[in-house]
Order: sequence, then structure tokens, then C-alpha cells
Amino acid sequence: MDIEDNKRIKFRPNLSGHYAGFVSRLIAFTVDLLILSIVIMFLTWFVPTSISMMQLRPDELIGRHFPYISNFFELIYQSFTNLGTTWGIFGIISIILYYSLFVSFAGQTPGKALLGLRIVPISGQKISFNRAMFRYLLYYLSALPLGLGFIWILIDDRRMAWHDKIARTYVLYAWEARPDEQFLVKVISTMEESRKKLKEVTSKKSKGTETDQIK
Amino acid sequence: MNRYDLLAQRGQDEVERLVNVGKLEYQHSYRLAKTAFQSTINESINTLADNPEIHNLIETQGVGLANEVIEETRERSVTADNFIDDILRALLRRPLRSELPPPPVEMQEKAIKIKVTK
Repeated sequence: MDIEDNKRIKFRPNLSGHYAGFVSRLIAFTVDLLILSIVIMFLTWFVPTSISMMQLRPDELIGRHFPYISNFFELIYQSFTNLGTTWGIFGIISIILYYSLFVSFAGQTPGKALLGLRIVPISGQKISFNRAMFRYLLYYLSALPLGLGFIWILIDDRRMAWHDKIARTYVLYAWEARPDEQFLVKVISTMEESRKKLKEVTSKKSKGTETDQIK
Repeated sequence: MNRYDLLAQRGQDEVERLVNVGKLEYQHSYRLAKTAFQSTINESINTLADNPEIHNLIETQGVGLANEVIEETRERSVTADNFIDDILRALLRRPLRSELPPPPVEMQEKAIKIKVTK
């Protein structure tokens, strides 16, 4: 048993540093979305609630000294206590900051770190904040034609999406990426079983139609 | 009231007294059991919370389990990456991923932040 296990481990290919595939990147993206949605939900609840609880009225406070700009602060106050506007402001800012800061500092977002992926620029230099932000904004370009820019990962030889191509970045496995062979065997066996069942069903149906025709 | 009725009355009173005693005793025993049970639970929880070995065990087990889940997810996602890639590339009649060159060594080094042997 031990020898077989050793053999299995020995022949498992190590894809460390290779181009990361579609599924890994999709899972990482989903994890990031989950984290972001939790953060945004908290912020959109916390900010208006804390402002209304503390009864902070910057418009009244500032309006006393600077009456000519009190309308502006009143507008800000109303916006911050309005859930929709707060969602919009904090949502956009936190999403942009999340992607740009994490990518520029660590080369990976928390979702990518969980899946062991890293964004590496083709130039070999460190990815800057502006470039990370530019790369994030290009996500929308990839998403626009029914997500074709993302699906391009499956077709491209270097597994690059459109935003990777324009921002000139690779997404690579940053861990000893070993495929789970047992999982693959399970998937293939279930696919073969379903194919056999489908064949049986179709053959039964064809036999049934033949006998009906003879009758 | 004749003697028989008096006797019956006394018997009835005695039965009622015993029933009341039973009710009271039931309440007492319930309270006693509840107190004993709660104190035992509190004591055992305190013992578990204060025990450093148990602390250590929970921490290592938790971290170990989380690592295992992450590793499993990563391995499965890599498998799915290759599986879908191979199917699609076979359908599009493009060379398989294994036949394509890997990224430049410098990029690989940057990704894993260690030296890669050529």
C-alpha cells in the first residue's frame, strides 16, 4: 500500500509556476466576490446606522459657521443616511480598492491566495497600484461580450483572459499544483457510467420502435 | 358522623397529605437535580476551557482541518482545470496543454518566489 502510494505521489505532475486554469480562477473570483459582498453589506449597514445613532449632523454644525456651504453638507448627510447611495459609493470604492491594493501589494487577492494563484506581469516588474486598478477595470471589458473575455482562458495557449492580454499579466499557480487523481478517476467513471446508461436507454428505445414497426 | 366515616375521613386526609408530600418532594428533587446538573456542566466546561492541552488540540485540529480542506479544493480545481482544458482543446483540435511550453522560468520563479530547477 505504501509503495503504491509512493509511486502515485512520484508520478503526480507538479504544475507549480504554470498557467492557472479557468476553474481555479473562477473559484478564486467567487471567493473574492463573497468576501466583498460581506464587507459591503457590513459597511452599508454600519455607516448609516452609526451616523443616525450618534445623531451627527455635520450640515448643521458647519452651516452655523459657513452658511453658504451648508446645503452641500446637508446633501452629503442625506446621501450617507440613504442606503442606496451608500451602497453605491462604498461598493464601488471598496471593490476598486480591494482588487488594486491586494494585487499591487501581494500580487494576489485573498481568493487567489486561497486557491494558490498569483498575478505576474510579463515585464517582470512589480505590479503597480495603477496597473492593478487598470487590470481590474478591464474585467468589465472581458465580461461585456457575454463573458467571452473570461472564457478566452480556456482557448488561449497561455490561459490568458482579455484583461490579462491588455494589462500584460499572467496568472500562475503559486503552489505545488498537483491534480487530485482520485477525483479525476471518480469524474471519468461517473461519466462512463452515465454514457453506458444513455446507450442502454437509446438501444431499448430503438428496439421498441423496431418491434412496433414489425407488429 | 359515625365511626366508619371518621375513619374514612382520616384515611382520606392521610392520602392527601402523602400526595402533597409527594408533590413537594418531586419539586425539591427536580431543583436539586437541576442545580447538580448545572454545576457539573459548568465545572466540566471550565475544566475544558482552562486545560491548555485541550486548547492546543482544538487549535491544531482546526488549523489542520482548514489546511486539508484548502489543499483538497486546490487539487480538485487543478484537476478540473486540466480536464475541461483537455476536452475543449480536443474538440477545437488544438494541441493539448501538456504539449505546450510552460511559462518562462523567471515568471515561474516570480510566481512561487523560489528558484526553479531547469
